[in-house]
Amino acid sequence: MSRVFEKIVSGKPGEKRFFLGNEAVARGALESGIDVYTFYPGTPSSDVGEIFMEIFRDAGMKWTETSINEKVALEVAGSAYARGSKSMCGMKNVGLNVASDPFFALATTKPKNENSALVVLVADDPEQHSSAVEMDSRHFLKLLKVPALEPGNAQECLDFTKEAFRISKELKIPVILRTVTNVAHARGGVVLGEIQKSEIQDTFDLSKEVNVASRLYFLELKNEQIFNRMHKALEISENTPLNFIENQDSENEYQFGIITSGVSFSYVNEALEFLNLKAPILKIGMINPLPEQKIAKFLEKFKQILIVEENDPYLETQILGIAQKHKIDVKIFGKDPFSYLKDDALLPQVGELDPTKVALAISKITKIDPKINLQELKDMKYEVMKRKPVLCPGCPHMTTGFSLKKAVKRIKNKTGKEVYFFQDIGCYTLLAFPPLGFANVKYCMGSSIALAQGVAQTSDSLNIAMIGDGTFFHSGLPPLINAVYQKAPILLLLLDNGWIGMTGQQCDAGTNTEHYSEGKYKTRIPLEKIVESIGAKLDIYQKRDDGEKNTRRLTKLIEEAGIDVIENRNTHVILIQDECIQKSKKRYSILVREVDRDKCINCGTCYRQLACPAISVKDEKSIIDPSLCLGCGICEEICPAKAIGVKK
Amino acid sequence: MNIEQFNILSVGVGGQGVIRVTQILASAALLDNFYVRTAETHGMAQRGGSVSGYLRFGDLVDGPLIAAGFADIIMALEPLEAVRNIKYAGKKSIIFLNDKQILPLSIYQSKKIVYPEFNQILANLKKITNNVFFVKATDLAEKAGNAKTSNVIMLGVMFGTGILPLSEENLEKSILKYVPAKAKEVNKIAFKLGIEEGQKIRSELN
Repeated sequence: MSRVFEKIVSGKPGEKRFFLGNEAVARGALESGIDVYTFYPGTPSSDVGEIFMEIFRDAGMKWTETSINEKVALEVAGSAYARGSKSMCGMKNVGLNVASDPFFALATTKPKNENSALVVLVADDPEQHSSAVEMDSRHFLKLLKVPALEPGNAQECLDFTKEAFRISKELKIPVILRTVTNVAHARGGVVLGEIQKSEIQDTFDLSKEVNVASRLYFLELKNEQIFNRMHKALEISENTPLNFIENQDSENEYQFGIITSGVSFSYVNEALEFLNLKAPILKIGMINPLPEQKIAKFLEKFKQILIVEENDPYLETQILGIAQKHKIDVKIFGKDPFSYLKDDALLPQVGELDPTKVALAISKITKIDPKINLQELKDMKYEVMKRKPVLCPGCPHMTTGFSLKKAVKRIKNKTGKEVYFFQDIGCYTLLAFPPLGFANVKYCMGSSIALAQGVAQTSDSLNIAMIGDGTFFHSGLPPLINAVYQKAPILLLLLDNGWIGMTGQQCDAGTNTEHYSEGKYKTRIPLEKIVESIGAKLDIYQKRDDGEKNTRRLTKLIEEAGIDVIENRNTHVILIQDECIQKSKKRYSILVREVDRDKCINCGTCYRQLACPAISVKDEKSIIDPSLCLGCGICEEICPAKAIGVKK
Repeated sequence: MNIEQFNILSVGVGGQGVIRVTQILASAALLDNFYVRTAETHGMAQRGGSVSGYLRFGDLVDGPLIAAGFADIIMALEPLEAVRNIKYAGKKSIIFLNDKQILPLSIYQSKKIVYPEFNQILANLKKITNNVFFVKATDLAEKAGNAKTSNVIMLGVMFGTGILPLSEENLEKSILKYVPAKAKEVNKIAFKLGIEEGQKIRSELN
């Protein structure tokens, strides 16, 4: 059995483990008898999917897949749920946008099968540690009208996952489990429960209860099923121990109480400890629907309330409404949903919370002297140089970036046209930073190809889109078909490194099936056949070791393709196939390079134009760090002084 | 042993083994029967970005984050990263800096980007606490036999100064649990070298 199986599955009930929040979610799902897990990788949610990919066969589950995108993942999980399986589907915040379309229909269906349950894991990323936007997925709860739970630590990750499955099975409605980075990627102790055997039946009933797209039927369902089920969910919310009051009997002279949820609860506890203050805390574990009566009863006891939550004032907005509805005279502080001024509220709407920010807010309300200057502590920093993320040493995208820069210069010289770049989501996004700087516009997964079309159709400039294989499979296919169909004059660089690189090298539909253990159950989809069959003009570049310079070959390809697009206004694709170094390094012997310091003329070509983390400058000569170099050899190829070679 | 809270912030650059340090310390603290929480920022850990690992243990620990001013130890595998995280330092904090600078690649693109002198880094940190110590961890790691063991050197240094309320036995056990099988011996040596270095610092602690 694998190490992952040992860690997540083998533990006996009552045993204590030290788990990442994501690991606890996986264990909780196993303790609920999960049959199916589908996902698309997205930090900080990916670990759960990686765990199931590795263990699902040995753990006796029916199915697990890294789906092509979140929409497909939810459809597969949702349909398996309708058929009577306990399903779970995982994604990051922006993944929910992609999955939202089927989610609305799914939320109205009510499976007929006893075992059916569906939990959707959505991981938010306040502070944008690894996200393009700081999107609060909780706003979807009101749109979708589904129950949701929010755990705040590893133990709760395990317990709440089980509770989410229980509620979903009882009400036959999808339940969202919302985590944030400091829950998903924080570790803590958990006490294990018993792993449940699958209860899935061979026979099942897919008749009438499943939503068919008829408007009348839909309206009927909406009343009967959504509202009835949410009414039952509300009863659960009013009574569940997941919504509880801490320090129930403590009183303070400020008539002050706190409402919070998730990881913020721990910040509140520590802030109160720090200020040596006792105050009742209503901790909301079930964040949709909110327990209206419980909240109203809590509010009545106080003159001042602070709402502490990550991201947007989602709880706060609703609690303000509850106070109004119940005519409760209480002052509610927090992030102030009606102000968009940065310093207007006690807690910030941007960035993640911490104990200091919470203590500062409490001290402002209660006028308790914190004895140290919290404001100064919170704001303290020295401006130091930023460390922008860079490509890995040996990354194939460096060859692309280097060649592209040269080719674009030549195209501009020859044609006099402007060149614009449209970036997508993946490691190659880092080409947007100096020294390469290839980015004019970037939106979201799969958008580069259509963004290029918008400018190409309205100007005579050259518009170059860049997309990786994972992102292309995720949502790049429709815009490429659109480009060919609309005769859009764009150049697409399809950067096929064979893996979903940015999130930790998960497999995608184009990954060589011999290179991962699940591959023997998969069919590889070759990108070149897709592009050819759509009818785009196709060139293929593969890294070769035949003496001809790879960068020269790629530069020439890009230059000719660019001029072709400008002159003939067609859709042109260059498929650049060179495997992610983090994967390929495991199969090849690494020939570390070194600089011959006698030959180095310090021209800067390697360290200025490549941005390889292994190359730096020492005593006015280039130097390669042998502990970082992965032997890709591009520096050797581009060195004009021939000063770089294989280390002896 | 009863401790209210002990907070260790490990910082550095992606690839230096920052998260590994936090994992090793967490494992040792668990073996010593403490209540433990950790948090990691590892979105860009492989890509030369700044990386932080938060480790907390003790009876009053609840959340995963260290409050500003409340780090007992800041361990920086790259000196500038300690300055970047200065808000976690308080009067009582002890700061260990590996004296190996890692220049961001952007330094080659713009003359405006300057890496500060070590003296300046020291002066900035000393405004907060007197206990700031440079350690030649990378040099010692090479002496141990592998430059990549600088993180274990730093673990040894922390322990050697006597401020770490963890047992040597469980710390070493945890190191061996988290390093690759073929690197166990070299890491054992690195841990010993680090402890010796830490013992030298011990007398200078205020």
